[in-house]
Amino acid sequence: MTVEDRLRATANALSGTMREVRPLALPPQRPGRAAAPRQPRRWPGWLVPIAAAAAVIAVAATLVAVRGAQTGAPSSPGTAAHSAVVVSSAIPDYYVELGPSKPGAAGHPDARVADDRTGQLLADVKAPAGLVFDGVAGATDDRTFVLNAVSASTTFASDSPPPGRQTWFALRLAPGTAHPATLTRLPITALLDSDQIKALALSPDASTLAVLYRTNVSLGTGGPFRLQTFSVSTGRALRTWTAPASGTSTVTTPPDEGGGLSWTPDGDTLAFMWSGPAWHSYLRTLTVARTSGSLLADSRAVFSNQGNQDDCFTVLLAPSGRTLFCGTAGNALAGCHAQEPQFKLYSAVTGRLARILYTYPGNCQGAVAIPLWAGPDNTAIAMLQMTYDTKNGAARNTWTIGVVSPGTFTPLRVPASLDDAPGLGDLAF
Amino acid sequence: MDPLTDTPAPPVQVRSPSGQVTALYQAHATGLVRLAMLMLGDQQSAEDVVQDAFLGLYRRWGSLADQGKALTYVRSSVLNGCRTVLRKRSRRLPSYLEPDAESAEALAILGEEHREVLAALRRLPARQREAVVLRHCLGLSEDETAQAMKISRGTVKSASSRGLAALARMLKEQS
Repeated sequence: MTVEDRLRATANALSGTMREVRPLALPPQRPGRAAAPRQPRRWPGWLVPIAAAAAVIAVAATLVAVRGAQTGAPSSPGTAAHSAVVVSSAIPDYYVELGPSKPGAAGHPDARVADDRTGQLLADVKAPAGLVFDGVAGATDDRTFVLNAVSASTTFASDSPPPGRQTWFALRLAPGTAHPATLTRLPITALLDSDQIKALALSPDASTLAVLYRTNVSLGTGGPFRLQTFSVSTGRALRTWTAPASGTSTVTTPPDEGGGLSWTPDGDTLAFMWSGPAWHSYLRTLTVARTSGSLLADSRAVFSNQGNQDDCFTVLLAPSGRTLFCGTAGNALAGCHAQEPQFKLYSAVTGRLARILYTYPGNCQGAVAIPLWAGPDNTAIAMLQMTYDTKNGAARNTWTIGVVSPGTFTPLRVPASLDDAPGLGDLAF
Repeated sequence: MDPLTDTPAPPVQVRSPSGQVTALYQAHATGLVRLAMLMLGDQQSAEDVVQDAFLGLYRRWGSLADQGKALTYVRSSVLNGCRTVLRKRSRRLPSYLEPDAESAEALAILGEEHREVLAALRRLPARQREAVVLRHCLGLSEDETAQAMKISRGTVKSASSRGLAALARMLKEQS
């Protein structure tokens, strides 16, 4: 029997073990405002060659930029100087990326710290034996990060919640010294391995950690959502808010876990994303000094995408607290002409579009735009995930992380070690 | 006919988005869950991934330029969902060390030789595993596999041939 025969036989045998597949559970409401496919633009005949030449130049320039960003692999310290990306506004110098999750990959760091403009490696950090890093958040001082770790044997793919408690660490950077990165265990002990963290945020002064998580998670089930703040120095739980988990209302951080939780610069307010029925996503803010214990009662919605997730798929509050960044999500079958990849600014006061920050000028088949870090002066670090058609009909995926400012997207050398787009909880600035 | 399920395409008279997506689900869910089971090893996770993929399809139904390509879209979504699950699992344990997640009942029903094949499949690199499962377990064409994986036909050929060679080595070692 050939290997192919054995594979087919196994697939057939597996079918025989399957119980009946459960029915599809669609939400009761119809999808929110669905965009009709846009008609192709009609161009005057004389404009066609000019437009074609301009498009070729734009695509070539973009591909060069994208290629530059993706090949900027950081090398070990002491190698030749790296060419720096020139970014005019103030962004963090360093990022922390949790290690690539290639099964069985040897020699990969558990966490990597590098310069986001040059890709220059600052430090590789190993997790203590028996632990794996699970999430990371950065403070505004650009030198302090907090990481959580779970037991290496923890898996949510079993019927019972995993035992054990999560372990927390501070990672402090000191570039130019003999110890450029120091990992210190924090005294936070409240979270269990069975608490599945959705998002982390470190307060601007790095004194308080906010954790948004779902309790008691095992295969296919989970308890209520909880938002807690902890003192970084003592580990003491400061405040706790809870929200029940229901079928259509949930804490959401599309398109992956992580992100979506942020502090205002004064450290008084937390913002998080909440998803309601009919694909409505809300950005809600919560004053940390007041608490009744209810996540929804103590917070208020400052923005809704009105059910149009493609137009405003990912949301991040700006430091001012008065505006927020939105990224679009295009459909890989409809093409980018149906939903142009864009970053937009909305008013958190009126909920209205303030300005379109950047529109990707090239052609593509689909794209998702995700703000990752919000800065002042309408500037953000963001990710563009793109899909292109190839000649043979297959699609090719690319991703680029860069600085968005009005009218420009400047690729950074971040991160260089992954061959797939990073999950949002795996990367912090 | 869909090679995943050997079932005809859903009837076209259903018009509402929920009706069309549900009809597509009824016709293809079993095949797609089987695909996800081969990737993930357990039916619960496989069903979750397939449900999520169809929810995503439903959400975007109105903006699909070609609703005839919905199965291609949802098949890619299932693969993406499997990659996410595997990514999260592998953060905790290399996939081949992870405890088998099949139910005890399913394990008992599956013969030893099939369990060996599944274990060997799980030890393949992700791209080789996907190519081998789609081409040789589910019988998709090279073009269909390329579209589902969003890679070129040439990459499908090389990934599946390397995967088959690695499987042959592993299964020979075990026998």
